[in-house]
Amino acid sequence: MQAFFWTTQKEYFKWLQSLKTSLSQNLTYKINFILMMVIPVLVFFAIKYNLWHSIYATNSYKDIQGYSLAEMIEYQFWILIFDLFVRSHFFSQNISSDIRLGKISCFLLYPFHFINYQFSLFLSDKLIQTFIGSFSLFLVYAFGWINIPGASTLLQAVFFLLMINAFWFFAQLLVGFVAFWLEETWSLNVSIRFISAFFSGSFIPLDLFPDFFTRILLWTPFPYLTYIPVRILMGESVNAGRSLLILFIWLLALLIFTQRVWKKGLKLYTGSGI
Amino acid sequence: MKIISKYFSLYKEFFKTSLSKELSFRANFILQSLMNVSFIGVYFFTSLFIFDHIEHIGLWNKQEFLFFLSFVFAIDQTHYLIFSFNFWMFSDDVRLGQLDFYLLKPFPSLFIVLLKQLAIPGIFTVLLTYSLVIYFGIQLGLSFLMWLSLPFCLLLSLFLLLGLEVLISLFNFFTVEGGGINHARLQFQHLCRWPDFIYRDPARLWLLPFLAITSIPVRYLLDVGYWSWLVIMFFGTAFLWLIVIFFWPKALKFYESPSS
Repeated sequence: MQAFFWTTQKEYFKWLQSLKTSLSQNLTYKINFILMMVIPVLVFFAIKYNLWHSIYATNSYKDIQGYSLAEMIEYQFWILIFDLFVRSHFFSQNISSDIRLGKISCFLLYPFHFINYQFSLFLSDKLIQTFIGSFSLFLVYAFGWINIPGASTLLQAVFFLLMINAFWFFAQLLVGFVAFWLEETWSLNVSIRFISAFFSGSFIPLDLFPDFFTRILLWTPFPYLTYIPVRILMGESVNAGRSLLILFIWLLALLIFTQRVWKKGLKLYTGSGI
Repeated sequence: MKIISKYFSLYKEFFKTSLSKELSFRANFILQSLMNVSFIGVYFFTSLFIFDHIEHIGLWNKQEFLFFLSFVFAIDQTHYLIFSFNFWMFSDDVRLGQLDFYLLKPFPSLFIVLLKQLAIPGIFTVLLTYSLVIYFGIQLGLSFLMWLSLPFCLLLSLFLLLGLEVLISLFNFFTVEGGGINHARLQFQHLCRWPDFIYRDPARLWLLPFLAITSIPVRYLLDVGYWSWLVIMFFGTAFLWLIVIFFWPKALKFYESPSS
């Protein structure tokens, strides 16, 4: 019992220390931090809010594919909030540079697994993002751009957020591990983020996509990363259980694949800089 | 003439070095090209899907809007090919003292800072986007005068974008970590990927320098009546570059040369 207690306490301190270090690293350069957090939100607001107002005003439509202007604006604001909760900055880029520069050699010797360490960094990032997301949610609600749904819908959204964050953790880990084979992975990371934003309905709702395209997309993880949870938050009746199950299957597949890539990659790793 | 050939031969060296560097990592070369194509594709498909349900965005119909988008990406990809890497490297150059080496060279430091590295994979997307500009220009039946004005409009837009980005990048001299400034710079680029008329006042007024980059030239190319706006843009860009040339040496005085 005592041995178990000591092991748990040791593990806890490792996680806590990594988390603290990462938090202080993220918050050291304050202007940098503010620029990276505030400007994208302002630009998003400037473009999306103005674009949809302009589209509805010019065409004098009451609704486009079932979306009134107010609903479209609400959709876009939920996308913004959702993105703030799941966004992570340059996570895979750090992993790939660690691999490229031979920094993971130390982690192979430390009594703290490299993936656990990366997860603690990811958690610190999430801590900051959750704070920013909650603050933005409050602001957007205060201005009356969105309606806060009931407790059960919010609980469903929290489940989605946990799953989506786990999905992105493993996806980014996987992209980072590609550095075992390639020199640079930043372009791969940018492509994946951009394409997934498009297919997940971050730019425009999937209802505006051609029908056959949306039907194919529903078998991929993309709609469950943004579109479906946002529709749930907007009060649409969506089969949340089925959506979570599909997302879970993709998450599981990603987890297994990432572990395999890590094992294969390690065999190729030459530990430059030792 | 001798001075021009001196600069040209230096730029040739920059090109050769960048080419050999990019070709050493071929997979990355392909990935970067794919990244650019997916980036352009996402914007085009988003616009096409929107136009499946509406007839106009502001003043423009589908054809006019797609011409605008191709113009936007022609500028964007030219900027990517020639300047983008240099802007990313600039914050590191200032932080790590790499700038020392450029200040010692017998060429203006701004020339080296802005042009030393090319993103060679951008060549394919530059060709793609210029072809799109020509394709949509033909579809819209641009007049001979407009075809003649097109290269001038592209150059003017590029110079305005570049001038604004250099001004933003000067803040690197006053911060330790420049990632946020680069991030902000990219966000401002997003603004000019949509026409000015979608923005309402006062946002439109505040963002005018960025919106002018693409909106004024395309408005002129579609309607010659906007020629006076193009003239204002020309003088505005010239004035902006005077400001850049004035402030660059002043900002350099704040450079602390950490490597020395």
